[in-house]
Amino acid sequence: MIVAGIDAGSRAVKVVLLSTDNGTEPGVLASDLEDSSPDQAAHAQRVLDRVLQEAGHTMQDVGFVVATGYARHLLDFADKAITEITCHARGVQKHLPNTRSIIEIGGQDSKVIHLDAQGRVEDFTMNDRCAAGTGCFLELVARRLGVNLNELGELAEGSKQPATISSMCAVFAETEIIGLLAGGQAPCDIAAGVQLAIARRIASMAGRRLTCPVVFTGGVARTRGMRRVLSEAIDHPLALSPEPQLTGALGAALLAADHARSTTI
Amino acid sequence: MPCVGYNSAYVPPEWIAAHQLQPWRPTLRISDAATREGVSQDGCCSCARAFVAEVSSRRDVVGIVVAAVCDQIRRVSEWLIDPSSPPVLLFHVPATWQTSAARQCYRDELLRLGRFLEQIGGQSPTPQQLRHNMMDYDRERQAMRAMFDDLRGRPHADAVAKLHGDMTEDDSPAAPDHATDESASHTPIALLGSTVPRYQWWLYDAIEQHGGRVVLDATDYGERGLPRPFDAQLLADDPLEALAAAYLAMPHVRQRPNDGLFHWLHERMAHRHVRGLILRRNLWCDLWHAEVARIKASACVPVLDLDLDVDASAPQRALGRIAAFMEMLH
Amino acid sequence: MGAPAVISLQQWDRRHGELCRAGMMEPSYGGPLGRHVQDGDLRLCELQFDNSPAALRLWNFLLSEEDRLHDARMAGKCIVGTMKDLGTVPVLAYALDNVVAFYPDGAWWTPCVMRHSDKLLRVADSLGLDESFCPVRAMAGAFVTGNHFPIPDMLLCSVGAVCDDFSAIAQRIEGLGHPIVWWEMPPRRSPAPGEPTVLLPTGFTVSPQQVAFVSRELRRVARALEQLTGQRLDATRLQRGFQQANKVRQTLHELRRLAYTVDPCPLPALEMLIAEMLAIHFCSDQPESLAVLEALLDEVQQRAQEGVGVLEKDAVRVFWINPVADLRVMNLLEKVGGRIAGSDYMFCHALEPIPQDLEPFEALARCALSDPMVGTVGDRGQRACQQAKDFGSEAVIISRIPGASHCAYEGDVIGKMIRRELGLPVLEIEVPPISDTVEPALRTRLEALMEIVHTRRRS
Repeated sequence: MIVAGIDAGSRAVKVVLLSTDNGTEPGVLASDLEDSSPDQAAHAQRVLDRVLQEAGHTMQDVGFVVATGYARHLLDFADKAITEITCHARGVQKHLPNTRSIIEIGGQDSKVIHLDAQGRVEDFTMNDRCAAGTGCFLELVARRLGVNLNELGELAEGSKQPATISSMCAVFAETEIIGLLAGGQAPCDIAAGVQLAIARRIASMAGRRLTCPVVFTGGVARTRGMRRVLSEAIDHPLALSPEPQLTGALGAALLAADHARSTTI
Repeated sequence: MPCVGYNSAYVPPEWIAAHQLQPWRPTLRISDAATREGVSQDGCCSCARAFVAEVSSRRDVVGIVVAAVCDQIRRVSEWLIDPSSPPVLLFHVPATWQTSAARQCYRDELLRLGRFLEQIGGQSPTPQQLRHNMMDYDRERQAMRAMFDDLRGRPHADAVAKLHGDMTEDDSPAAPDHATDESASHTPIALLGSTVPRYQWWLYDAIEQHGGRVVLDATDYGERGLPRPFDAQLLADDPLEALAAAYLAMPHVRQRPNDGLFHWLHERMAHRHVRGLILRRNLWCDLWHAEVARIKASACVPVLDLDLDVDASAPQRALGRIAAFMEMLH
Repeated sequence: MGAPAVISLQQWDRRHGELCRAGMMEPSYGGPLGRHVQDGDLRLCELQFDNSPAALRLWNFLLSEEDRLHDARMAGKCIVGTMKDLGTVPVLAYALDNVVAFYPDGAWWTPCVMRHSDKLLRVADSLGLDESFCPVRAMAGAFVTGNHFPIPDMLLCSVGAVCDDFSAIAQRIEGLGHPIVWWEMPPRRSPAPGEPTVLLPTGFTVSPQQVAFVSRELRRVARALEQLTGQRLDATRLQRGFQQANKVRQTLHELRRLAYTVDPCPLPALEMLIAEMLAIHFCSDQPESLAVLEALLDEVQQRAQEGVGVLEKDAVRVFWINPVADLRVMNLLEKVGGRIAGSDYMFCHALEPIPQDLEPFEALARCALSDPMVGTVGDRGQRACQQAKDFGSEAVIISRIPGASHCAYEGDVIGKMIRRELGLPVLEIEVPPISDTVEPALRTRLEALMEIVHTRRRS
């Protein structure tokens, strides 16, 4: 049987297909992602159809669909909606089963998820009220510095002395950045300063409750240098989740497999 | 001598000193180390956090007295309660200053403070010893009052800090370099608010650099935080009652009603020919924040509302506002 | 009457017609809920309500309070605004004849219920009381506009160990020309070693000195009330007042026990929140508030006996800390599969019976000192742990009130205590007066909490 996990996030729609045949451990059949569009439900269906087609399947072959992400309740073709917290935890567990803490930084929010020794979500903290500390803040800064998001990490690596970005508000932080540029501060120092500001904000959210191993996931985890800066800020080693942007969708697919299995039994 | 840290002008240092302990009211040098693990800074008073950080940092502190002058410091005081830390006494200062019950309550709190001081190694004073200490402190405050016409801004704050046992040199940063105003006459300014932490004493410099001079420091560390002279008869008859009467009468925004603060302020502002009032308040302080409109409406002079926190951008923002305010007054 | 259910306003209005035709008797303030929308209570259109006549009576009682206050003024009764103490001074006031007490603080719900059409927060903004203050700042707006409650003949407000924002707002109201009789509430402290101990109704201990002080302050309040009304608050009147208040408290005690423990849940979270609030303010009519609660209790007892309720069986049992500014959030909790199993809406002390075997002012002082907000956060957390355990809660939600000074400090401390002592998952959320824009984020958090509990149940 095939099951699907769809992470309909604020910045991208991510799809993971799993094959659950023969009672074996589910294996990834196909996956993909696309930037989000206003009609999340239709868009998610299109991405799912395309991924299915590329894998040589149709919607009829899909036994169970779990939707996650902020638009999860809009996907009426999904069998179940589960939050990103549970899905990310499950997705990370698949690759790194001993994980006890997860830091996820996505486009519009960031989360710290605590797992117990059995891998169950024990507790979580979220920032979804403030753009500073999220991926969209990095995008904003990249635009202001005239680079694309992928180049921002590379730019930051050239910094010898990261700039101090003190504002707690993304809008005021942008004003600060304009001031820093006008004052002749090197763009690489500003890029590094922004990474540091985000990392400190996450560290403040995490407090001292992190238990090792700590895993970094979500779209921002792909940004070069971010893992190192965050690791220093939280004062813990930080493992990177494989394909971090797809972790939520993978978790959703794994939970879909669980549901499909329990329904079949 | 073992040291007792305390946070407010409502805690009489002479009462601590009379118990053979060294009173120390930190002037708040630590600006950024005061964040408690896992606690968001949003909504937390930076001065309350700074007090906790600073009073915890000194090794010779044998006890901590936290006067619950606001809800923030009352709640922050719980952070200090730890088996490895010195004992903490939460000291209630009645807000209803005008009733005899409040005075009795404050007197009872002084007695409770006395018992606490004895438990941490202090010695109960005789009335004579207490009287002696009170007179010493009273003389010092009288001398300070006499200097008000000459001692301005930063030196004034430093002198008050020394009175409260903070004897260290003033090494707090100066305001960022601006051309100092060389004009002979400075615009007389009143500075109002709660505590100006030492890490923000650049405020005094900034006001002077822009042609002003603080002639009335109405902050907690300033003139407003000095109790009136003790009543001589009461001092002779019942020194503790004299102490309670003088201290509880200090005007404060937290008093209910707080008209006394406004009367005190207007009377002194008129006497010192103040031409501008700067209200310096902590970002999350509701008590002062709520009164901004009333202060502006009643001040009879232009008022600058300066909300400050510990973030690094604060000086730049504040300096811009002070410059504009002083230009306006000129 | 039909099976218990949660229904919309439109459904209620239809049902109201049916019930009337079937012979339902209503009090003078009765009628279809929809009429309150015409009066401006627009938020009702987005809420979900319990479908019992008892719940309808509760809502009508709540939403007609302003009319009742204006009627009282017309009838020449003394109107006393009691502020901040949450449950103490109204007991004194209602011991007198021809006195109506109410909490102007209750205006904090008005912006939500009226969907900001009341403009109270805008007026508060204009007074310098911006959104960095607790939504109770709406109270200042209500004093300025005079469009809600009549300006009371006397205002009484506790001060000392109270939230800074409330105290500051109350002081601004006085500055606007509304004199206040302030009475002092010291921070509750445990007796020092060797000091005598007094046990409070909520289980905390204090020194007799503190009880004596608060008792004296309450006598001062009583004298002010006596001067206003020309009546004497003697022991007989006070005991009668305590008896009335205790009837309300006992009814609520039983209502809470059933609503928070019986499965399926017999009464929705929203109605329980409002019912609990009656313990502090009686909705400006003490005898009627008792009648309203008794009707609600009858309904809940019947549902419990029949094994029917308003939610699915096995809803996730949540202990809730702090009231919400937006009532809709209580609906949201149930929508995602939760139910209330225990609460601390900041006035646990008003739910405990007032001792009737003590000198009256001492008894009331002991109750006032039991206020969870005048003690330490540690005390409050300890009691929350005990209550969550007693009610069999599976998770705890700490709801932050935007701007409220206590909220910045308590979540971390209480959360840690609950995790350490009970091992329960804890969620801290912030609920603005209208939560629509943050609803998706709130929903995600609440759903995630439900998922955590379900995972725990499975293992």
